[in-house]
Amino acid sequence: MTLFNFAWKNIIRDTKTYIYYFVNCVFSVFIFFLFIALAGHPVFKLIDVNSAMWYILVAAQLISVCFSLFFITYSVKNFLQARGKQFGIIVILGGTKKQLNQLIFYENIVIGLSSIVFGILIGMLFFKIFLSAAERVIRGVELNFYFPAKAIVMTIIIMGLVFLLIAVIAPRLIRKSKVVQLIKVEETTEKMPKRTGMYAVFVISTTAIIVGLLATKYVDIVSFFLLPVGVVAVGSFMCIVVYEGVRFYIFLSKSKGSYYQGTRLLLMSNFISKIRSNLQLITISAVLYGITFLSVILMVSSTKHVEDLIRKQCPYAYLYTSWDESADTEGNVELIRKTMQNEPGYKEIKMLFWEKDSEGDNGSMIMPASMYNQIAQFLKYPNVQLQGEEALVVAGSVKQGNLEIPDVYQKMCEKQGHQLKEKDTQQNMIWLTGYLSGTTVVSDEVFEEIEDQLVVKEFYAFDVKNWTLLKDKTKDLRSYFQPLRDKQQATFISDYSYYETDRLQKNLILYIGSILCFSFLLGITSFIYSRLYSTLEKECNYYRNIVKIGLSRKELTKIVNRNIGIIMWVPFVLGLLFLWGGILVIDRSSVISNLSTGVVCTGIYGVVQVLMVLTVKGMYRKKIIEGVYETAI
Amino acid sequence: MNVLSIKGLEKTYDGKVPVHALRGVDLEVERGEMIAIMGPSGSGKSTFLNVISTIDAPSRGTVKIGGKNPHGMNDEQLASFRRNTLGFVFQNFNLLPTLTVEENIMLPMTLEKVPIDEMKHRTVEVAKLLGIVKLLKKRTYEISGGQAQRTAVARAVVQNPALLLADEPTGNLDSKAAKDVMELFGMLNKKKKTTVLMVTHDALVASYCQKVYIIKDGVIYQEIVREGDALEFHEEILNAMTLLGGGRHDAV
Repeated sequence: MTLFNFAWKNIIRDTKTYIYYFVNCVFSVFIFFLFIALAGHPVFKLIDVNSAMWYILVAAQLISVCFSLFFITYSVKNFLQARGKQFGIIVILGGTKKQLNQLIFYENIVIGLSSIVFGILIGMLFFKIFLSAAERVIRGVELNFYFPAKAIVMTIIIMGLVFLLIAVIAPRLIRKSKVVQLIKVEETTEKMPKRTGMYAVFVISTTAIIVGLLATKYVDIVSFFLLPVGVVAVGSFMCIVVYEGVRFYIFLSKSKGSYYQGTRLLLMSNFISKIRSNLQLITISAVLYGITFLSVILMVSSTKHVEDLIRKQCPYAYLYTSWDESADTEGNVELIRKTMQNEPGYKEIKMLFWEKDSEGDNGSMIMPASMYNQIAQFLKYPNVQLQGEEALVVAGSVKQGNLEIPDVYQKMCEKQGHQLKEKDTQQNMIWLTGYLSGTTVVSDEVFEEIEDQLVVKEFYAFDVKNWTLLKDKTKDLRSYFQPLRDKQQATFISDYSYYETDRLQKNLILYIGSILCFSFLLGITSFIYSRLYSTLEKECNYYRNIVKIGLSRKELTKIVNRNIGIIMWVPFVLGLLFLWGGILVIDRSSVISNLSTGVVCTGIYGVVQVLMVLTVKGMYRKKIIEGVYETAI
Repeated sequence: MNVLSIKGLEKTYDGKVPVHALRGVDLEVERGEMIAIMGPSGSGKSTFLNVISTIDAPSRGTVKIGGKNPHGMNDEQLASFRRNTLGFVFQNFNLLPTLTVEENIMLPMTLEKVPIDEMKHRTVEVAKLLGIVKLLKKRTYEISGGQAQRTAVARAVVQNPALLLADEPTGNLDSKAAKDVMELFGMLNKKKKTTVLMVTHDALVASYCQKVYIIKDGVIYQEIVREGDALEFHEEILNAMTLLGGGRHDAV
């Protein structure tokens, strides 16, 4: 028998122990393969490598690989710890550390390679369904089946490297344990983690985020590191909350005396004896729950509100302006009119904006109240009544803060003896967001006095009710105006173009993001399963001894239920807190509110979690009772 | 040269309150001896065995096995030492459930990279000696406790170690199986001149040995040498254990 034979026999003859780890690996390969096969679809080859779509596809693969690495490494760590005794026996019989490392390396390579094969095979089986589902969700792209040869090769190479890395890392996960600790693994309890460590991680990561946020103003690349550091900060915070919460609960119940009553002593002492593993499990689960919950809500919310968002950013279905005198303004406007006039809800408006020309295009416009009120009527905004020096400042971009009368117009008016006073502001757009820094609306009287210092620009706006359905007409108009735009003669802007691109991107994010979130949730389930399964025998032995001194079945059931409750509900609740904290922060700067989606999704999450907890409780309780009383139920 | 030579052995476990498990143990074991270490709970006998078997390291003093000090060795040397000089039998057998009886016995030779033919030959030889040839292809969950302990003994002696260590080898066995295992040890000691050192709390098990050392409070309290038959020796051990400490709570 060689070491490789030994590794092989370990896997083949103890499938119950290895199957969970194997399934995790196959799933990771499967997800990665699907993403890379999707990205390699001929349809996506036309995507510009600098476009948002391309980045989304690359990001999905990157996240998938990083999560696979973390997920599988964590699974391996738990898996190896559960086999500590076996490794202790090998060391006592004379195995060197090198031989132990080799054994673990061989096992991981065998599982890794077989996972790649099975992951790709299962991926191929589901690929057509995956593409059909993607086509339905993303909408706007045709994803016919193709043979993903390149994806297969890339999956073998990249996931092969991942498994190779894990096979190299894995032996180091147990290296530090002393032999005696490995042999007597069922007798040892975990030491309480040091507070200073947790607090230090939290303080350092939070400081790094604050510094990073300030630094992003000067160095863009810093923003890439904010997310992983943010995850560490949130994770360490949750860890501290749970740790201090447990300690406080024990302190409170001890001081009241209730700690020693009923099953509380057994429950808490058992929890504390595995405090490090419990904290790790709860923290990782809470972070994954939080990221998953918030991501799902943001993705669903953004895909639901694409149309609203586009309209908030540009309130007109179509905009036209001539840049050059050589443009046939009348003819072009007539073309748009003829194309759209029969559509339901058709209306058009000629808008005049003025600016101070001599200082170039500073993006700040001005107009009289009469012009503004025409636009307001078109857009169904409230009219404005401006007397004398009163002014209204209209935002140039969505959620623009600090709306003030620009100095250039203030000075212009001052020269005429007028001191403009800001009467009100208007956050809703009267132009495409981001193109102007703002528009100042003044009374007609004041405007007359400064008009000769200004240059007028004409814009034509058109609106229809069913603009989201006018793909072909919009396409035709764009094709017509593109050459004029290229010659810098005129420009034609359509809400539909932004809508189409935005919707495609958001649907792609929704599809890919949902799969990643599903992977994360499966990861949580896997961690909890691994934890429960690996400690089942120890727990049975533990409770069997206590049953012998008088613990009743009812009390045992209560302890088991509460234990499961703690490790499943605490991370869930922490995840929800993270979710709602995130929604409240994001909504402050978001165009669209995520509150309603948040409420609905929270309800759904709650129902799913209740079902999961009941299922896990039932299954685990049965196993414990069987193991303790050694009778089949 | 003695197989085992211990001088001034001390072991202290550091902590909020340091625990002095061994306070200066001196012991010499000659080749071919079969020794039992006994003592009340907390006397230090398990610590003593852990230090000799290199599971744990001494705080002070020296341990020499076959003239070598294992506690000064690096990882490679220590692993080789464990494979070739020591054999260990545990109370709960500690067989690997993923291997058959034959493969469990082969494991030390696998680690030593013994050629496969020689490995198989030696496995069959030691299985014959211990009466478990028919069990070689069986898995560990298919055999009884006594058979499992025979397998563990086979694994421990297959490399002809200079010193065979046993930690409560009959602790998990019924009386018949325990008797069989002790007769096995006796046979190995007589036929192969295997030096055996075991820790036990069972006076009957200890009576199979030639000498019994009683540890109390981390030091060797008494040495009892067998002069008559096993029954007399057993009686002598029982008397010694009864007198040990003088109180009811010290009775083993």
